[in-house]
Amino acid sequence: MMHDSAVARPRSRAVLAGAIPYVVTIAIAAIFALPTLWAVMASLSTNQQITIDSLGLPNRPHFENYSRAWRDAEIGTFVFNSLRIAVTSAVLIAILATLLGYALARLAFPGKQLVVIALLSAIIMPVFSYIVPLARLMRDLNLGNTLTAVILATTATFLPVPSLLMRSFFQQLPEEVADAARVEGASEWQVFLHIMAPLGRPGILTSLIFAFVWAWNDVLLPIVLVQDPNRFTIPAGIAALRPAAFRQDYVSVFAASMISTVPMILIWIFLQRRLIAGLTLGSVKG
Amino acid sequence: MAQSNVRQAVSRGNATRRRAGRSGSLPWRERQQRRLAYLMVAPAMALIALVVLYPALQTIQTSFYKWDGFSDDKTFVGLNMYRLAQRSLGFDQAIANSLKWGLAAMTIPPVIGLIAAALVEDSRIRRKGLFRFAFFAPYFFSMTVAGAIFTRVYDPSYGMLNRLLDLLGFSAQPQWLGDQQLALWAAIAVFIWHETAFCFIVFAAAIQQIDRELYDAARIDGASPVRVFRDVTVPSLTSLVTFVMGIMLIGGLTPFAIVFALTTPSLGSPYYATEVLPTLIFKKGMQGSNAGQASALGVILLGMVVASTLFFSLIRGWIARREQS
Repeated sequence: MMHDSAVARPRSRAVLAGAIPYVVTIAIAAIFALPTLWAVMASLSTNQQITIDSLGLPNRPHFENYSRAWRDAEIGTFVFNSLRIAVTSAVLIAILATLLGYALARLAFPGKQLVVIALLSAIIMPVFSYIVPLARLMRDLNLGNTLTAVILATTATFLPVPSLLMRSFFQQLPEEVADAARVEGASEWQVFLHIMAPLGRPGILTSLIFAFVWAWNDVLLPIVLVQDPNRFTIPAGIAALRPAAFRQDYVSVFAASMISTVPMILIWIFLQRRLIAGLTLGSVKG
Repeated sequence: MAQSNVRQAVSRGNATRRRAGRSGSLPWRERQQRRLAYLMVAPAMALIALVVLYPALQTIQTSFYKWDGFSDDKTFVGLNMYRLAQRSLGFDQAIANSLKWGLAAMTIPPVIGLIAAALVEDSRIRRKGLFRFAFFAPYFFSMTVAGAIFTRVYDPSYGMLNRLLDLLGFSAQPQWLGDQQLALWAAIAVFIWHETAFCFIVFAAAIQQIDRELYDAARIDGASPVRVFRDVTVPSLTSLVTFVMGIMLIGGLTPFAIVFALTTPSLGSPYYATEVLPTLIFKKGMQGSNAGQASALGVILLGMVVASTLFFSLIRGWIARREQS
């Protein structure tokens, strides 16, 4: 590098070569960022401004779009429904996956292979292929049009993936600690509760976050299992109510879309590493 | 000291267990383990069996019946429902669109994501955090919300895309979602926009894990950035890239959320141009009352997803064997 600078041409070429990654990266990033930037801008604009010149900046940021979306377009209700479904499903999934994963990794019992095969078949099957009988099942259980149905369905469809994650997580923990406790006279349940489960906390947290993100983003189960618009989740509300509530109010749709990103942004800020680890986990189930 | 004590105690314990095992009946420790295992497995598996496996088996069964999904009027018709589903409006488009979508999904987001990740993580570029945020940003929206935003991006009168075309001097103002030829690719573009963010962040995290010494060695040898990408980055990520391609293919075969958001209330419009198997299943089984045909389509979709999964696990096995030798 140093001796290059003695000669003019190689240096300018090096500068040019150094600029190429910047130019290419900025170009790709700009293309991908444009729709987001436009949506953010539009969420703070006015309907008048949007219809006249949607690329123009509003005279001032109109934060009242957000409160209007929250109130008039019922985004508040949708957020509350989404939170109820996502939090309950995530907690249920984390608990059930921890128990199941631990049993598969650490306990000897007949039929273990069968359970693993059942989990793998459940993962491979797209929800769409059995959505019609699933909806009928919920009606038969008298759970038609309830959030409980969505919670049960979300929990069951997503559960196999974190269960297998927890299994490999518990498989990596050393057996010595558990055996030491057994020698001390601990029961198998105590070994799990007081020794292995606390060691599995990072895996449990990853499962919890991913189940939450999955449930927060999913639209199929809420749209199929619930008909009452008052029980819609936020993606269902934004997409399905487009023709009605949002007909002329463009900007509140953008405001609603921005509101829907809040949990993801919070997770990105505080738990970036775990988010990335869990993304591959979450996407295994299609 | 303490550890060796524990180890001794453990080996003594194991010896007791082995002796007990030889004597015929199960030692109490194993009995206890077995009882606890069943208690732990039962709730999760009962739920999965009821909500996933039972409906899945019902789908296969229902696909052989003529049934509206509600009444007691249910007649066995063999493969008739498959034939009817195949001949029904929208089926050919749904299959063709699913294949196009699957192919685009499998190739485009992983390639752009990998290149972008290498550009951000491998180069001496500054403000890496900002670039990571920019590339990941589409993933803050769910697919559905991404679709809802793009209905406005594509809007012929005020949408961002046509306003930009106008600004750049193009006179064409296409009806992106209303045009037979364009609608499918406009929908696929939303998928690419959203899923490239996913591919980017997964590859970026993986590149950070690659041994830095490999890069230093390549640079000392005077390798150009393109060669470093080809000879260091890509070989280190082969297994992950095929995994992500598999995920993308399956996602591309089931892109319900985007089509739902882009085309509600007339799902699959204009005239089946954006129809995919999941939307057809939704229309026949949920909005209409044709459980038999919807189930037949469900079985076809299941077959496609299972085949793709098997295909990718074969490829991954082949790569793993090649890497070992």
